[in-house]
Amino acid sequence: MSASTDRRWAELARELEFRQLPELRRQAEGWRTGLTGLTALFAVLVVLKGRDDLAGLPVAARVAATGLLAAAFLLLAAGSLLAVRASHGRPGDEITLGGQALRAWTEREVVRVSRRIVTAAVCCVTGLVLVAAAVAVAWSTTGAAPEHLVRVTTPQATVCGELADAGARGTAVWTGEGGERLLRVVPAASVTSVEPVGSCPGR
Amino acid sequence: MTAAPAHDFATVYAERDLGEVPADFSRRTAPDGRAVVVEGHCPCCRGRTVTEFRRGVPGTGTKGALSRLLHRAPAADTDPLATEVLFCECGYPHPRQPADAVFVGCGASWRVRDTASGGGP
Repeated sequence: MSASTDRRWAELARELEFRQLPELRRQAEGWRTGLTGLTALFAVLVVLKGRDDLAGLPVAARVAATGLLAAAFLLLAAGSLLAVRASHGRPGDEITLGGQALRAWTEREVVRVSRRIVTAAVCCVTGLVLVAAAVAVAWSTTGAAPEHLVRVTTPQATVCGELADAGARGTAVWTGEGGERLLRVVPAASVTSVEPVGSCPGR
Repeated sequence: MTAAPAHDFATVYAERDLGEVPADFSRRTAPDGRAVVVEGHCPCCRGRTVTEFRRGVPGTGTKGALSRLLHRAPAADTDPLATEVLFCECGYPHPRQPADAVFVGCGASWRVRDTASGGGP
C-alpha cells in the first residue's frame, strides 16, 4: 500500500467522524423503507381472496398451495432483508475510525455485499416462482362458482344449496362445499316453497 | 531521564513516508471509553503529536450473522498503534502546509515498529 493511499484512507476515516449522524439517519431511512416493503409483502401474501381463497380448495391442493406460499414468504422475506442489509448495512456496526481499520473493513464489506446481493436476488426470484405456482394450484383446482342456488323451505327446516333436480319425488339440492358436499333430497310433499337466492349462508 | 527533543518549527511541510519507525509512542483509552488515543513525538519535526481513533459507524455496511454467532473478534478492534499509519498532528502549521490539510503538522507519516513500549489502556 502506497503512502498516498494510506493518507487518503486516514483522511477518509477522519472525515467519517463528522458524518456519524447523517450516516445513521441514512441507514435508518433505508431500514424503514425495507421493513415497510416487507410488511406490504406479508399483507399481499396473506390476503388471498376470491378464486385464490385457499379454504375452498381440495385438501391436497390446499396443503400444496399453503406450503408453496409459506416457502415463498420465507424466501421473499429473507431476500428483502438481505437486500436491505446489503444496501443499508447492519445497525449498530462500529469500527475504530482509523485509515487502516476502515480499509480492512471496506475490503471485507465489498465481499459481503456482493454475496448478499446475489443471494437476495436468488431468494426473491425463487419466492416469486413459488407464489406463481401457488396461484396456479389454486386456479387449477378451484371449481366454478355454484349457480342455480335455491332455498327450499319446509315446515320443519330450510335447505339452501345448488339445485340438482326437481320432480315428482321432490327437490334435490347440493349443500356444503369441498369434502362436505352433500346431496339432500326434500320430499315434494313437504316443500312449501322453492325460491332462487344469490348466496347461501356459509358458502 | 532524557529531555523531550525540541520541536523543530522550521521543518517544511511535506508528505513524507518515514516507513517503520522505532519511536516511543503510548496508547490509552479515552475517558469516555469511545476512543483510543495514541501519543508521542513526531519522528520528523519532534513535535508532540496526539491522534485520537474514535469508534463509529463506518458507513452503510454489514456484518455477517455467522461472525456474530461465533463471537469472532472484529478486525476493527485491533490495536491502532500496531496497525495504523500515524500522521504528524503536532498542531503547528509548518511552512508551506496546504490550507486544506487534514492533519495539521509537518506532513510526515510512519508506522510504529515496537509497540511493546506503549502503555496499555
